[in-house]
Amino acid sequence: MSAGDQLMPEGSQSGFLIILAAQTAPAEAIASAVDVLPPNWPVVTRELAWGTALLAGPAFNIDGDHVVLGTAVADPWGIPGSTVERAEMMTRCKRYGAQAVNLAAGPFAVADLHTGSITRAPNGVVPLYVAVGKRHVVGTHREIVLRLADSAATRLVPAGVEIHIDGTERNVADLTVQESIRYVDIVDLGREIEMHLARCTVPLVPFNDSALPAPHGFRLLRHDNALVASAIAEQMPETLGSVAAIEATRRAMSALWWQAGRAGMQLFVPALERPAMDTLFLALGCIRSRRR
Amino acid sequence: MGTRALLIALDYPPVGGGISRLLESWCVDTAGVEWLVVTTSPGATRSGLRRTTPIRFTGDLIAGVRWLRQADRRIVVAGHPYVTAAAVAAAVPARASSAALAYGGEMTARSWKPRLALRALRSADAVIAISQHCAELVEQLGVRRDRIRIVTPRLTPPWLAETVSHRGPADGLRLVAITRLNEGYKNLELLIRLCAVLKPLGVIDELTIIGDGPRLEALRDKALQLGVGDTARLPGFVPDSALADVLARAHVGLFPSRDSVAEQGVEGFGLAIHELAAAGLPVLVGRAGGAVDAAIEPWARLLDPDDLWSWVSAIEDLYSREDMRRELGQAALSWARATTPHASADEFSAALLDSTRPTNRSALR
Repeated sequence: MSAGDQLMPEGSQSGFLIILAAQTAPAEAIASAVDVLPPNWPVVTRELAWGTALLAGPAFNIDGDHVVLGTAVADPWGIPGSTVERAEMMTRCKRYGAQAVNLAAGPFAVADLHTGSITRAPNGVVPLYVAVGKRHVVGTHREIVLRLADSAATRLVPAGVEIHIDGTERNVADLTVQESIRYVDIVDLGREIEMHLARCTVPLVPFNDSALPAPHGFRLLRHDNALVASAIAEQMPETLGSVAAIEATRRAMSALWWQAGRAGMQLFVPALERPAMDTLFLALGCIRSRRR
Repeated sequence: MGTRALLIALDYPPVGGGISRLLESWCVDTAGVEWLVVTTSPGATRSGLRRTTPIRFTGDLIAGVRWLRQADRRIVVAGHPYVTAAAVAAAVPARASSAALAYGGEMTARSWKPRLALRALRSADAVIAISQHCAELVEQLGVRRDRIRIVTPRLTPPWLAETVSHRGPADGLRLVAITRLNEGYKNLELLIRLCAVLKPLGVIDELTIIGDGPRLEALRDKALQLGVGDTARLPGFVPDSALADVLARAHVGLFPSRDSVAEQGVEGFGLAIHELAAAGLPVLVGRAGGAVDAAIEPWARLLDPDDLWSWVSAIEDLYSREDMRRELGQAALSWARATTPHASADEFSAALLDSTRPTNRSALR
C-alpha cells in the first residue's frame, strides 16, 4: 500500500486525468495510461471525429460534450469549504464555455469533447501538456501525452488558456501585463492571503507527510481530503516574485496536485488564484528592483 | 464677529478628484461659517482663497492665523490628514480649535514620514471621517473615539439625468465606471474579465472606464490580452460634457474597488457611486471600505469585489430584467434629485462646531 492509499478517505472524489488524442483509438489511449493510473480509478473513453478522449479518476462529470473536472470552490481565493457542485459548474460550463474557468477557484478544468478542447484554470494548479509528434495530444499527464504523441517533448499550456486538439490556443483568463505600482508589497500580499485562510470555515491543521512534501516556500495545511498549500509570506518575493518564479511554483504545484489526487486529496493554492495573481502583476515590474 | 474657519488643503479645485470638490462644496455651502482656504493647488485666486507654495506656506499660514483671530469662534481645519500637524500648530497662536478631515488610502501609510504625519491626528480636537470605515482607521491610529465624527459626503454631480436610459431588446448592456487610474485596488481587472465572460454572449455591448492615470496603457494592454480591446474602452480623461454623453447612453454603473492589504489601499468613500446614480444608473459596488457607506439601496448593490461570479450573476440579472434595471435607475435618479449638498455641508460645520470649543476673543488680548 502506498502512502497515497493510506491518505485516501473513503468516498473521496478527488483526482482526475483527461487526455485528448487525435487520430487515436480508445484501446491505444487506455494502453498508454494503464501503468500510470491508480488501480481503483474508473476509466472512460469516447471515440470522436477527431480521435479519442480518455477520462479517468473519480472527479469528473460528463454531460453531452461538456466535461467538468476536479474541484471548484466559490471562494475566489481558492479556500476550501465552499465547493461548487459539479452540476452547477456544468451549468456554467454550458453557458459560458471555456470562460467558466474564470467563474470559480480551486483545482479544476473544463473541456469540450465536440471541439476537442481543454481549458486550464487561471491558477494553473492542474497542468495541461501538449505534444505534437506522430499526432496531436493534449492532456493533464505529461508522460501519457508524450507516449500517445510519440514525441520527444511536451509543452506546458499557459494557465488560463484554452487549447484545441488541432493546437490552436485562446487566452481566456491569463493577465500577465506587468505593472510597477510601488505601494503593492508582495509580502503583504502573503499576509492578505493568510487573512483569507484564517477566515476558512473548516479547520485547517498542519500537514506533514513525506509522500506529499510541501514545495519550497509553502507550508501544507489539511482538512479532510482538502490540502492547502499556503505561501510563506516572507518567502513570496522568491517563490512568486517573477514570471519565472511563478511558473516554477505552478510546475511544483502541478506535480503535487497529481500526487495528491492519487492519494485522494485535492490541492488548493490561494497564492495562485486570480485575486492574488491580479495583485501580484500590479507590482511584478518593480519587485526585483525593490529587492536589490 | 462670528465664526471663522481656516482650511489648509492640498487638493482644491480646479484640481480634480472627489475630495477637492467636496472641500469646495463644504466651504461654499456652509452657512454661518466664514472660510479662508490656504491651498497648495495651483489655480486662480479669489476672496477667501489663497494659493500658496511650500516656500510661502508658513507666511500664508501666519496671515491666516491673523485673519482668524478677529473672530469670536475660530477653527483651523486640515483638509488632508497629512497636514494635521500644521493645523494643530496654527491653532495654538490663533487660540482656535483644530480639526482634521480623514479619508481614503492616506490613512494607511507604509513609510515612516506619513505615519509620523498621521500621529498628529491624535492632537486634533476633532477628526471628521467621511465613512464608518475611515472612522475605524482613525481610531486605530489612536484618536479618541469621542473626538471622531462621521459626516457622509454629498455633492451636486456635474450632471443630472432627465430620464433613465432605454435598452433595445436586441442590445447588450453598456457598462460604465468612473475612476482615476492610479491604484491597483480600483480592481479594474475584474471589469475586463467581466467583459471577456459576457461579451461573447451579447450580454455586454461595451464597457467604458472613464478616468486618467499612469495605469491607462497597462489596462488597455490587459483588455487586449483577453481579446476585449474593442469592448473595454479606456478613453482616458474625458471632459464633463462628453462624460455626461457617455453616462446618458449607459445602462449600469460599476464601482469594483476592493480592500487591498498588499497595497494598503481602500476607498475612503466613493463619490463616483453617487455620480453614477445621478446619471440614472443602478450601480454595482464592491463591498469594501467606505464604499459600503456610499452605496444606498435599492439602486446600489454590494458585491464581493474579488468574486467575479457574483458580478457576472448580477449583470446577467440586470440584463434579463430590463424593467427591474430601469426601476433601479429611476430610484437612483430620485435619490440624486433629492440629495442636497447643503445638508452635507451643514452637517460638516455642525460637526466642527459641536466638537470644538467656543473661544473668548477678549482673552486673546
